[in-house]
Amino acid sequence: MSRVTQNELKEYYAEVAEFVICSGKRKKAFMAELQNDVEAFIGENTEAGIEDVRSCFGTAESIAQSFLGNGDAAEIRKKIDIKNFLLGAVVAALLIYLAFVVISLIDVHTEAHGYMKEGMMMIKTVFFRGDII
Amino acid sequence: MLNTDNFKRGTVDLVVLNVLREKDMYGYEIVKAVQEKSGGNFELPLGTLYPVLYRFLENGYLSDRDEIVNKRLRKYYHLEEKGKDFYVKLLEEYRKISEGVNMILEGGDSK
Repeated sequence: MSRVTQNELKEYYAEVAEFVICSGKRKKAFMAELQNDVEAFIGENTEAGIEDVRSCFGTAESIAQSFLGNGDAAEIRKKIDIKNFLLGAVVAALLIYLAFVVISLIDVHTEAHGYMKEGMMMIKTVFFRGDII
Repeated sequence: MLNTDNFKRGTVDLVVLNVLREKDMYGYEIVKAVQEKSGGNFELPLGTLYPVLYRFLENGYLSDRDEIVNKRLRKYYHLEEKGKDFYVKLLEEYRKISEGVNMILEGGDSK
């Protein structure tokens, strides 16, 4: 029976997933592989604790550093910047769209409650009065 | 410790390719093989091994295949011809540098 609890493992995986910077697809594959290898390690080392897991697999920080050190740090930073820019653009577009929808709803509401019609009627009334005279 | 890490980082590629020459292995198996072959002097945390393996896959030095072992998916890495060529090149470089460093160190000791 392993000394490592499922909660400790979950916490470790969450830490690693948070620190590692790479594409979503790569991260998913990496996390799956990490979990399988951790299971294999625990299976072979039944007395292993979470500290043994950290020692064998590395801390979240050291793993993240390996991913960064392995790739071009500038390239990764550039990708993150592009991602942030696209995210900002999407949020801005959504806010503009939301503002447009709100204004349209206010217009529809105003019209549905007769405010616009009343204005039109007044103009017509003035016209008719002019014709009669 | 940091110096040891830096020193080790340069040799990880060589060590990983070396153990994969023997047979196809999965991540944890590679770490165990490295530890065993080095007499426990070369510890390679698995977390730091994965990025190396992924880079080798991208470069075509390795290929991978999934196998189900004990109801779990296990990824095995296979050394390709391109990887073998790269290993030979790396080994040559390593020997050259190692020889040079030894010459410097031995020269330094004799004084």
